[in-house]
Amino acid sequence: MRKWMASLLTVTTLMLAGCGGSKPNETTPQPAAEKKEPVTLRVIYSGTTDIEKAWSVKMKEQIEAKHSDIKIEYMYIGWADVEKKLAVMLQAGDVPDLMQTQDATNLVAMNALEPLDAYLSKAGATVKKADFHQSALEYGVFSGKLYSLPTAAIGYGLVVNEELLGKAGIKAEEIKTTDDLVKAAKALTKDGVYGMGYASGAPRFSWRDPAMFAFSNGEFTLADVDDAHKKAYIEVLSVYNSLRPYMPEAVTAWQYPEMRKAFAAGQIAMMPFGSFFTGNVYEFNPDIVAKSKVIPIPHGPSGQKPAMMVGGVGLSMLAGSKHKDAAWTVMQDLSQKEPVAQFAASVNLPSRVDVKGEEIAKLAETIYPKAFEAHGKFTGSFSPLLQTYGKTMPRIIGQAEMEVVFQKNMVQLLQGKLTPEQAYENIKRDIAQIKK
Amino acid sequence: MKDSTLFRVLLSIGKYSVLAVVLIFTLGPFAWLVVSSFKPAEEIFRQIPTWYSENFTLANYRWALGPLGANIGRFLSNAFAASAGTALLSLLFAAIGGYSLARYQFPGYKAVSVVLLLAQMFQGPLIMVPWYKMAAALGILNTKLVLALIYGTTTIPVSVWLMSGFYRHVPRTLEEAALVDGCSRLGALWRIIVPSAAPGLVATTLFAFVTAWNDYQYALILTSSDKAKTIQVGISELVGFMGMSNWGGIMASGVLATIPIIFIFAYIQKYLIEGLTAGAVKG
Amino acid sequence: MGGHPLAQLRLFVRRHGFAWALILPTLLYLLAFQIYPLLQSVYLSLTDLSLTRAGTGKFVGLANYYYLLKSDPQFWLIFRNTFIWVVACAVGQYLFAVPAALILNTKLRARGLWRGLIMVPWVTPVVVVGIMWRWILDGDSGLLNYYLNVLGLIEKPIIWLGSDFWVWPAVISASIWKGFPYQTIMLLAGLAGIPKEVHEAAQVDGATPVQRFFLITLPLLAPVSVVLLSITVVTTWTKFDLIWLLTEGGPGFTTSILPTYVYSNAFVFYKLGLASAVATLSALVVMVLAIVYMRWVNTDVE
Repeated sequence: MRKWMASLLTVTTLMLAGCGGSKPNETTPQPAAEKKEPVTLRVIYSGTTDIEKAWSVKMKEQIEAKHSDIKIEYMYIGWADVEKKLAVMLQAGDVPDLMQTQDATNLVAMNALEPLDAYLSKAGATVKKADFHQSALEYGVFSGKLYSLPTAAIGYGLVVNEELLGKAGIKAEEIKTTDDLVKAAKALTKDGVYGMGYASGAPRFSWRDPAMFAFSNGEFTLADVDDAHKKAYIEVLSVYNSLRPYMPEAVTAWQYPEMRKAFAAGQIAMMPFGSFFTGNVYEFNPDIVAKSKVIPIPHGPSGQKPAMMVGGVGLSMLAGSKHKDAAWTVMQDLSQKEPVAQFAASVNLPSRVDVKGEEIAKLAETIYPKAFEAHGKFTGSFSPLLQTYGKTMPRIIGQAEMEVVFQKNMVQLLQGKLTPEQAYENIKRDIAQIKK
Repeated sequence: MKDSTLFRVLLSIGKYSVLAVVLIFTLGPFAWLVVSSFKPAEEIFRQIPTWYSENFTLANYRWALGPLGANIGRFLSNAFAASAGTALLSLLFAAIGGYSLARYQFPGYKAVSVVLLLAQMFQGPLIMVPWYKMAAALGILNTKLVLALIYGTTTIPVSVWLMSGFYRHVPRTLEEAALVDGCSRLGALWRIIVPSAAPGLVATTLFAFVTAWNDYQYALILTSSDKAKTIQVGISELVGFMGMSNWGGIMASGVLATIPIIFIFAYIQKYLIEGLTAGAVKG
Repeated sequence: MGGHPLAQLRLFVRRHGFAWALILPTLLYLLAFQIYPLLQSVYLSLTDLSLTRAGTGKFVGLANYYYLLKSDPQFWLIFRNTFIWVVACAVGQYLFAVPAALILNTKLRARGLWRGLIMVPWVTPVVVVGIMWRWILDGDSGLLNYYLNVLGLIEKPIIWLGSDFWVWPAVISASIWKGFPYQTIMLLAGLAGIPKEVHEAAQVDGATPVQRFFLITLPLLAPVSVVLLSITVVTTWTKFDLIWLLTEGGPGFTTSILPTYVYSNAFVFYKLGLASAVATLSALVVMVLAIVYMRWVNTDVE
């Protein structure tokens, strides 16, 4: 036994030691003595799938080739974990330089991000606010200050399977109000196919879909539990109540992957979704992209016309970064037309107004070999909708907590245990608690 | 005579049936994983599950091992080093600490037991920030060493407790004989008692290794690059949110992450469980 | 400096020095690496620190504790859930581990391979286990529903992870699957420590296998089993990865347990003060249980 332990000891020590045990963190930024000293920027990048990573690698090569004094070091941290890890890093005083952001509400509340307005108005800036779709740009604005430059715009709408709709004799454009929606869902639910999908198994998604409906029903948010919005709120809950027979029962436990899977398999005909649609369904069934179309979320009785939520994926600078000028240089480079187009070729919509959907199709050929034309078409039809109906997605403090209580009540509504009015009262009480 | 052959045959059938039931329960989900890893992505999540693959493919494995894909070879070796380090640490501390708790009612031993228990209770989110600070200050962020150290905080208290339980089971006569023969207390401990608590050592090593292997949260927070990222973090990164996840590749990665350990255990357990305890029974 | 205290010290060292020396490394390790974070957590629990609200972090005494124990609508539910979770997992894993260990202890062909394979659930990466089990338990096209339907046992699919009734059995089953291999190996080690002669003597005396199991094996396994169960209880008390992947503690807070509540408060709501209070309360409960357990064990010593 001693011999075995001894060899185990040796092997382990070698493995632990042979991997640079106690060297100081090699990425501790050294203050640049002179401008010539290459600066290593630590960038948190959250696209950890193949295609998103590919973009990041290409960008690094281009930037390092263009600027001899800048080196990029990526920290790949997936979207689900990035905020958490950053919070720990910040609390411990370890601040990276750049990061990708979507909903920056919490980060701004933690004073983690650097406002960018001053940088944009500096002479020699290669980007300006007007380059971007305003609704996407606004997504990074808090209290009048801009905190992130969007690389992609994320639009949210109702994605429908035109083939299934056609079989039921429905044209997508005809679904304008929530009544139309319920009627369509009813007509589509037969032979093992359901009209509508939902992903109520995780708080974030349980909140998001009804939030889209609330947005289309008078542009309010699910956090607006005051009496002024009571009627419209209950209308939104009633829509879901009416849709119950036309959604698979399993939606109470579904998270996004299950819902996407079902749509890709043609089991559900419609689902509220975002512009990251193509990649998310291509992995299950590339052919579904060509059959899909997006329309604005139907509006309810309290809304005159639909509104589509617009978010974005952008780059932000950390307020505690020690290399802000270099970081700004990189941010600008990554927000030019080419990089934005290439980013949108893999996922989501271009954030810049000068990138058209059709160009993206060509770039997407290597990424989605079986559906690049469909991807281009899908993206191309999404963008104009954003122009017409797109409004910046609301950013709510404490949303994460509200999502959980909302989900709790939503699931009970879906199971028939609560009426829309009862659900509303519960939600109102719980959210009011959180807001205190 | 006939009775006993019939009996033996029945016994055999019985034994292997029970084994089969146990293995079906254990390996069922894993079997699905393995089968799926040879399927192209579109086939995996069909309505009607198939336990064979229509378009058998090795592409997923090529992707999982390749540098452009999952690159899990690196993550596996990192995880192995960190877990082995944890196991070693736990073993050393537990072999001696457990004995102390088992045999000696020294003043304060009750308090020590409480401290050991308490130490394990503060896991997860709460110790992440202090640990990150500490690791950054010591310069060991993003290393396998820091992982072994933080896993130790979970595994050492339990290992000590475990070993103390096993030590209590070892008859005192053994040490008394050794002391009479002129061994020092330390010598007796090292040469006689520790080997007789061998099952406990096996259990401790295994527990510490797999606990470390299974951790996701700490590895996520304390590592940031291929230098030290473990397989848990590596695989979870493959499941994207917006981009396209390679489900077949994820399945293949899952299989590759599991199989080596299985073979190692299958090989080791022969020598450990049987060889060592044989020594204990004899000694 | 006087003779007396020094003599006392020498006596102490002679009597207890060895014992203390053996446990000291462990204590020093924990002191260095756990105690500081622990103290900081307890301190945090006495503040109202919330990362997304400016100006928080002030000392508020036991306010968080009062909130949890009196006003938090979920706390007691979560507390109860944790007990159910921990006991069900520990006992469930044990009930599966015993037959598995017994069978793996008999003479079998390729026994090493079977023993190795039993480890699979324990070693499979957690994320993959989450994917596997979410697919098995899917309410719509999951494997479990499919086969139950094929076997004629159910008509409509059961929404395992969405139903208030079925979600706990579903989650506990997944946890039993993942955790029982460890108990099996432990029991195997314990069984290996039972000398063959004991069984042979009983066989000579005419005991049947069943009698031998209940009258010899189980009692001899008792020490190992007790240690095993208590360790499982303690380690399960703070584990949350599997539940989080399967349900995120939902729907709502239905399957939330103390560790997921700590996690939610710390990293989803960013209320570090409250999260620390939950963790401290959680630790206190386990401490009380452990002290009770130790009293009971020590009355049985030798």
